[in-house]
Amino acid sequence: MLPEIIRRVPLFATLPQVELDALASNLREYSYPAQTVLFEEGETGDRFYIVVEGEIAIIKAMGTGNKRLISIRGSGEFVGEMSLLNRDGLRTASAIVHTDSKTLEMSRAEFDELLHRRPTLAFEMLRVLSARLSEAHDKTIRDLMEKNRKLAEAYENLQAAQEQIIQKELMERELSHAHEIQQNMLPRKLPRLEGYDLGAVMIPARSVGGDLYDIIPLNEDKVGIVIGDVSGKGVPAALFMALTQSLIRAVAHADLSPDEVLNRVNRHLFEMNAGGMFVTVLYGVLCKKSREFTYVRAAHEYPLVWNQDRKLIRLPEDRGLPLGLFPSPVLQTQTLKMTSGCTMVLFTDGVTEARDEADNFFGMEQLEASVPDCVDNTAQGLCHFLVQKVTDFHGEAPQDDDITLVVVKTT
Amino acid sequence: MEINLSQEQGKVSVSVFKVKGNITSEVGLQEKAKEVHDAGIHHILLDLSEVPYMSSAGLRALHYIFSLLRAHEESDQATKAGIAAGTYLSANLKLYKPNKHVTEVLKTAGYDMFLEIHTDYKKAIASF
Repeated sequence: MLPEIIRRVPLFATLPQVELDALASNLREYSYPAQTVLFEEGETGDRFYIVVEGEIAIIKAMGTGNKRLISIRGSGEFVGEMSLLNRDGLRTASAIVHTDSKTLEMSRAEFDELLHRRPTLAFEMLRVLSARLSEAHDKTIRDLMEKNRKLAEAYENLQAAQEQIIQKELMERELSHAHEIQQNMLPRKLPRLEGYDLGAVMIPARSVGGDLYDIIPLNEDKVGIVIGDVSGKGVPAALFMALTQSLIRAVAHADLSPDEVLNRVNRHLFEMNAGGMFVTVLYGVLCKKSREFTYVRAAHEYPLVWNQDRKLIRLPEDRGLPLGLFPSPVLQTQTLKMTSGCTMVLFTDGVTEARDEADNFFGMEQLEASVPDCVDNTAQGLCHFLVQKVTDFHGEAPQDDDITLVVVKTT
Repeated sequence: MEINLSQEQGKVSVSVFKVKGNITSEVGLQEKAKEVHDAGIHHILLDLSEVPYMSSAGLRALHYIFSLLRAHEESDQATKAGIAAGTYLSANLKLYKPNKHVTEVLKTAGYDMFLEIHTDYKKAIASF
């Protein structure tokens, strides 16, 4: 049986019968289960193996991140010859049994003797080694090309990611400038009015917001007070907010009634409003001497007013349309007597529509209930107190909308 | 928020949007209105009878639908005069049965001045 197997090995195909018989009596047959390590790269080799059955994998750099399968040798092929040919005798790769295998094994001494007796065997071996070298060379080039392609792809992805980071940073820088510009549009310092205490705050939900407020000294006796909320969010809302705030600043005048001011502002907004945006505004004129606050409400929330007894005063209902939608909106003027010790809170819906993690709204009731707790505070203190209340309420939930408050207290 | 669409035939074809749940986003309402509008229907009745709460996002959606349908009104001049006089009411978008809270929101924002609010369904359809 063994001579038959040996004859089928291409390496020995040219050997005479007598040599085959000698090999059959000298070579030892071994069986190995899959995953057996026949030898490891770097160790000294003292034998080579002829595969009778099964498959043996030749692996470079086994156990490292660069592990690479060189080839799989099957029936009739041989492995482990390199260390017998190399001067240093070291294994150039590892051999692992891929599927259950049978091998014939020849020691270094047997191999040397055979080559000595049959030098033609060296030519056979050279042919096989030359073919293997060529195969390994082609595989190396293919691997290099694949690695090069992956590297080029990774480089392109890196460039795209870097470009995105640059664009994002640019946008963040621009938004930061826009935020600064918008903050500078708000009054840096509120005017001091004898007999009154004023406070205001705006916390945008994003870098830039669509809310606005302003305190505009009109003359020695009158101050214009504005709060507004543009429909929508982000940059478009911020631009419309800037436009509205600038128009109100430009138009507001001591001799103009609040409804006249907002009608003029509306005409400009309506003409320039191709995008269909709108803004709710409350604009009023506070008269120091008469202690009257005369206001129009262009669809904005009603003012909340508490008297000196901390009682919420119910204001008369009025009508008012948002600005920017119609050429001449209905606006009704109201006058409120600001008696001593009263507190007026103007706000945007970012306060009442703040939502907690369970999607509950802060709501008007909570706002109305919160103010009397802090009515003895300064106007600015009350603004901060209410912002804290809303912030505590929404907790980990994101701030959906801009939060703006203007507080006027009479002393 | 859930929106169910149905069709009613009065003097004109009316698309009825039955909204269920809080309106806290304009998403959904606007897209549905655009679909109906693009399909050639320019009269919408918004059934708010099962809407417990409406935020400013709901007002934005109403404004969007109002503007979308307004382009089909017969006389823009008459519209402008009506708005100035406070007598204009949209012929294309009407509201049905908002609850007390939603009515309050609509009134505060002045929307009841240009959007008819109905409490009788048949009369609402016949009013188009």
